Amino acid sequence: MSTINLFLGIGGTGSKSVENFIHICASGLGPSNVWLGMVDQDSANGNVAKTKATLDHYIELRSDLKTKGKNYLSEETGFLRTDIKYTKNNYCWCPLEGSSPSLYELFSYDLMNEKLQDIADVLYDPQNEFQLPLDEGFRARPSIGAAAMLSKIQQNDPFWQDVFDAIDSAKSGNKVKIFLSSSIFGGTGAAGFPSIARLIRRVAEQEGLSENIEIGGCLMLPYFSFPKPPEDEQSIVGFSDSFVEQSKGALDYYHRIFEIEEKNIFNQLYIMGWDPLIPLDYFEKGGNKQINPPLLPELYSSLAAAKFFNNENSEKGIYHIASNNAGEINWSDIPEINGDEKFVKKQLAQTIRFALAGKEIYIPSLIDNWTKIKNEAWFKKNFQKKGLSVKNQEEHKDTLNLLNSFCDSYLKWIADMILFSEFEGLNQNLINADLFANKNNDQGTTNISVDDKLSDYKIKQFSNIIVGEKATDLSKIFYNLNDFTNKSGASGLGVFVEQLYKASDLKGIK
Amino acid sequence: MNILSRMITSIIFIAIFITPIFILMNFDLPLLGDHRILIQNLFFDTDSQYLQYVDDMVYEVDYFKSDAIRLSIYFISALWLLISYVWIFFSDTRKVYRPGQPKKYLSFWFISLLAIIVSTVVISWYFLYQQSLFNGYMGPSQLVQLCIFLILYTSTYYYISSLFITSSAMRTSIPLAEKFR
Repeated sequence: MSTINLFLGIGGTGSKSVENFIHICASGLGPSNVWLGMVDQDSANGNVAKTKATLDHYIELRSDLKTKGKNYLSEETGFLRTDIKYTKNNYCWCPLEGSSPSLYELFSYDLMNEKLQDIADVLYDPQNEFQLPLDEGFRARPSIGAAAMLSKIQQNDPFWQDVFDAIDSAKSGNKVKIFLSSSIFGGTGAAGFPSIARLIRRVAEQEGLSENIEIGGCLMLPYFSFPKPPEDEQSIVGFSDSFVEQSKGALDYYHRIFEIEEKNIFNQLYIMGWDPLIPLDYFEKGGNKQINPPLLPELYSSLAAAKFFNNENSEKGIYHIASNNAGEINWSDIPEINGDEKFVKKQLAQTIRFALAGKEIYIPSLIDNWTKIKNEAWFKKNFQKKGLSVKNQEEHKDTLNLLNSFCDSYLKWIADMILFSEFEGLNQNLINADLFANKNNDQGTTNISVDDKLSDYKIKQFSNIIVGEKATDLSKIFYNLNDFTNKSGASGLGVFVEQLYKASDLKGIK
Repeated sequence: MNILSRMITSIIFIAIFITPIFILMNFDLPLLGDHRILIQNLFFDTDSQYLQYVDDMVYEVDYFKSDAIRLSIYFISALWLLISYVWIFFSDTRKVYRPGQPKKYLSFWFISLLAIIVSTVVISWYFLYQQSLFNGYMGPSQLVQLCIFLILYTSTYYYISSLFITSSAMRTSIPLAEKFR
């Protein structure tokens, strides 16, 4: 019996959760396999595109470094542990694809009888909501999204076919774990979260597979705010002042569904909020320019998913976590995912250090010219003695470039998450991201950039990146790479990557 | 190899290089012609004023062995060990973190080589030549020969030993090390 894991990110926050989850998987915190999908009416949304780019990057790098007999990272290494899959060409399901309909057209209002039209007029504002083009999402109107979504989910759609095939596989004894993540204060997420969960549970019950199918979910309560949109757009987009009010209504609705009417939909439900809201200094109503930075609360939703997938049997319940001290967040506030309280910190720290050491020191040397380093002990040990010589450099150039850009994007993800989340109302004591990234405020908009080259001061501070931890420095990593031989079964370039990853542990290789 | 193993390795190398000298100089091995090496090489001037009252040549040789040769060997061994350990600790505590960086420490290795050679020669000169008790047992030409021998022997010891006692990360700070290890 194997376990099939599915992670569905619904709406803008959901797609960001998927991106965060990919990075969590890269850090060795994910399950052994997972299928990822996104649901967003605004499929041209910048967040979706960014998540897709991260997903492709991860899969390509993993396939380059996990090929037995070629470049192979052994099972000893957490890095890129999770085998991630998605529906080719349909990674994001758009309920109203290929057109830009309004609710008016979607309901075929003209064909309704008079009584139905009256009901529709009561439920939706005929002036604004009926005419609202839905190609850029449901703009914080879950009532519109729920109607649109339920009418469009079809089993023959390739995206949903993968989901229902997974559910079907429970017939042969597999355990199927499905995790949904969305915000409660938006349009698509708030609409899709309960609708999709209920649909899946209903299908499972109809097939008599409820025992083998576990549904988990994470609902994000408001956790960020942004400036008010321009006056002319205020009527059609959600803005953060209304988030709390919307959440209150939605929570009341969810309470009725999950606690009273259909108690068994979720095996585990995580509800996540943040007070005070993290202020973002720009606003985009949707489309490809809407790229919101990852924020610390989203890490919790990804860790909730990791916990749900990693635990053999999910205990039923609604979970919550609170910070020990208001206004600050420490490592002790980060939840565990497998019973080991230090595991999340260890893996995240190791991957950050690996990405930084790789990007700053080793990968540039390997991209440059192997003849310059061929006589060095670390190169002999991790390359020549494992069958790679100078003549193999060309064939590994693409993988090294891919690894370099992956390290860069991983560091950017961490730096964004930490530096965008920091404000006067929140003091984080997790990662000193300013030791490898810079926060600039140009023309009133915050930008985070990862350093191309670390200054001498920052290099000396490498051991202090993880707050409150006496970690090894870059020289210890170099000595570890030179002194220890890899006997794990890794091969090709995988030997070096694995050894660098091990040496990047907070305490180095013992 | 960890630091402890390399410290033990340095003792082994000192033993390998010092033992033959010790055997040669301290035991009356018939194979080596008893004390003739000492007698012929060191006691160049059998008419020396210091020998005129000595009837028993063997007694004089024993005296020279214990108070000059043996002592100098002990001091040289201790010095070699000290300099080897200094090099081990020095090379292990450099904040080297980038490929190519260890080569910058090539000059430091040469300085340590120079230090070990100079100290060895000074110790030998002091115990075998300078000490007033044995003044005149060895002439200037013998001292020069001895110094040339010591320079070559110490360099050989230190180079080979360095190959094994230096951490692999720092090995490129030893000239031509990459050709041998």
